[in-house]
Amino acid sequence: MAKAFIPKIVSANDLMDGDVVYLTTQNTWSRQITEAAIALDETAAATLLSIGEERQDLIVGAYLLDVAIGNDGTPSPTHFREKYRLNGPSIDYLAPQKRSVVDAQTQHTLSEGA
Amino acid sequence: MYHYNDFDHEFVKTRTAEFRSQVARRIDGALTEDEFKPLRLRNGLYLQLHAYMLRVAVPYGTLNSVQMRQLAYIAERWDKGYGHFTTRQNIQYNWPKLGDIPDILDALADVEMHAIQTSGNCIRNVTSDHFAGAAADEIEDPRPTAELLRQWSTDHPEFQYLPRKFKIAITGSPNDRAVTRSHDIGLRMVRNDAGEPGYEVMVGGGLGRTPMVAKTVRDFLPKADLLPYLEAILQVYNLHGRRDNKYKARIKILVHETGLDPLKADIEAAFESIRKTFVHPKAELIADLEAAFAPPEFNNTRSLGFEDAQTANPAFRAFVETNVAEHKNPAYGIVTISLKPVGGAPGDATAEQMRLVAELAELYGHDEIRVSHEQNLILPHVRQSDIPLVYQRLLEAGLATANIGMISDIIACPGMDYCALATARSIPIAQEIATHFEARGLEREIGHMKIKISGCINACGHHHVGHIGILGLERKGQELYQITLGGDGRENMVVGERAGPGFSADALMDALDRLIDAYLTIRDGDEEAFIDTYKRLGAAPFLAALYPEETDDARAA
Repeated sequence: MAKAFIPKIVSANDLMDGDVVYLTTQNTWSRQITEAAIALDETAAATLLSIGEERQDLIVGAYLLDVAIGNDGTPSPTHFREKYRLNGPSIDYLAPQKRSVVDAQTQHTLSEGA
Repeated sequence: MYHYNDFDHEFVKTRTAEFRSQVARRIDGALTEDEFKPLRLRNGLYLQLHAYMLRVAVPYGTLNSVQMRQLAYIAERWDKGYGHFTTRQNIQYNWPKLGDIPDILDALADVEMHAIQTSGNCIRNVTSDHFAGAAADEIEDPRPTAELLRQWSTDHPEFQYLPRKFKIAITGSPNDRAVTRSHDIGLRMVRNDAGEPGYEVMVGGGLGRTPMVAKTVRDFLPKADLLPYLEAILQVYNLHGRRDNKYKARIKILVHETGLDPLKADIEAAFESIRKTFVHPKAELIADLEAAFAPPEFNNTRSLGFEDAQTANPAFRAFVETNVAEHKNPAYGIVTISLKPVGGAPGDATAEQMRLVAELAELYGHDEIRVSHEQNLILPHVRQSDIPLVYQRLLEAGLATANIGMISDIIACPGMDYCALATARSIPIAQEIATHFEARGLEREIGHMKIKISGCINACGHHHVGHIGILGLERKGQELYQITLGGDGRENMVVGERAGPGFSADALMDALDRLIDAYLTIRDGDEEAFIDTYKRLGAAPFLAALYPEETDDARAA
């Protein structure tokens, strides 16, 4: 028996800033995964990918990724890599730095006053 | 330190202008991504998971305060206010925009820096001992040679299309702090019987998916023969290195498949041929390089302030114990600034922190800064009597973590939080380990410990040479962490042994607890470091702790 088809969407990175983008039903690129066009079979997936690959002037590296479709119809990635791509770094990557920014500014003020 | 001459300035500016035009053509559509990608990689520009990443070369890890301030300016003006210091002594910006890259490269060129050859199949940034020029155990400062290698390898017409990337490391000390044996070529300064300094030349080291310890091809190479000899090695590699399989293309595979003696014969034959016509650098150039790295004028007056401050302040004493190393001048110390605040991202520094380090280098450190492959910053020349002041300033900026060489001084690659190649995350694991052992209050008791974490098999986090190495992989749609034990990056480099099945992120901390608790129980006194206990007793007691029978069922499949 053939394996059930896992729904797919097309993703890439924006040419100018590298942001993660998704191909929409309007054949445009969006930063919102909720706007992504979803392929429900192999043929639709191949079509979507070829549309994505035609728009290389705006993006880099279009490819298909597996998604699960929620009750409200929005896709969400199934692989953890794609979840990190969607949501950004899992770490609070500015937090330890922010603390020291405050410290350094305080210190700077102190040095100026001294 | 070395300052660009007219040739260097012209070369870097021309290259930056060329890349500006290439970026413009990519943006206006004249170049496709397939055409542009090799061009951007040649200029240090990667595309990662969420953004571009620019890798800037810090030649042999040496910076001055003007350069550090410029790095801070770039972080603030064109990135998110911070940068990431890497395991090859470079700095990476995680969020630059394509259109800004030419301006960033211009800003770098203004302070004699660039991003050339930080990617691609060429000779990469030459790395060195981060204590070079300051270490008490040093034969000679290796940086004049490292700079010579930079000039020789930059845009070398014969070596722009090697089978694969090529990394050279050099140290001037018998105690290897530059992991030279994990490099394509490692150079370790030694003296011959006549007392002259030269190099032990090691070839074919590497980490990655096939870790190998470099093999010695020359016990002693006179300094004057270095360039033609390296050219001979590169020539043999360029001709015979495999180009059919990316994973077998590094010189380590050539050494392995050819065998050391036949390869040595090839290298020596090439050397004999090259040396006959080799145009050696002029004596004036060598003299200029030696002069550029001459030691600063040290102030040799000692004062009691340093000892008194340690007596008065236990926190400062703890800082000195871990973060201050012996300097060749007894009135000085080498201060390592930890970029591993507990819970922080290893190697990250904010623009403000960079500026503070620049200021301290200027005020108290003869204007010298180093980046270590262990992702910390170093003030190599600080008068001992100034160290309490330096400590105070670092403390106020959250930069005085006293943990160098300890369990929270972890090397970690960017992992899947940033890197497109990663198979798992690294930084959160490092953060959890540091936080966990601080909470247990065990760091000082555990003592010397090197944990190194890579988020994929390419091993940027050097896990193979970690006393405890952690490799993040994917298994059945989950992140899985494999442990290696007993790795050692020093002169007698050892590749760690894989312990067994990997652990999920949730199970990893318990596994490390068992491992550390076992070590604390079986070590021969408080002074025996984990790695020494491992060398004395072998893997068995550690494996028993990692995989106790009662937890068999909980093992990852």
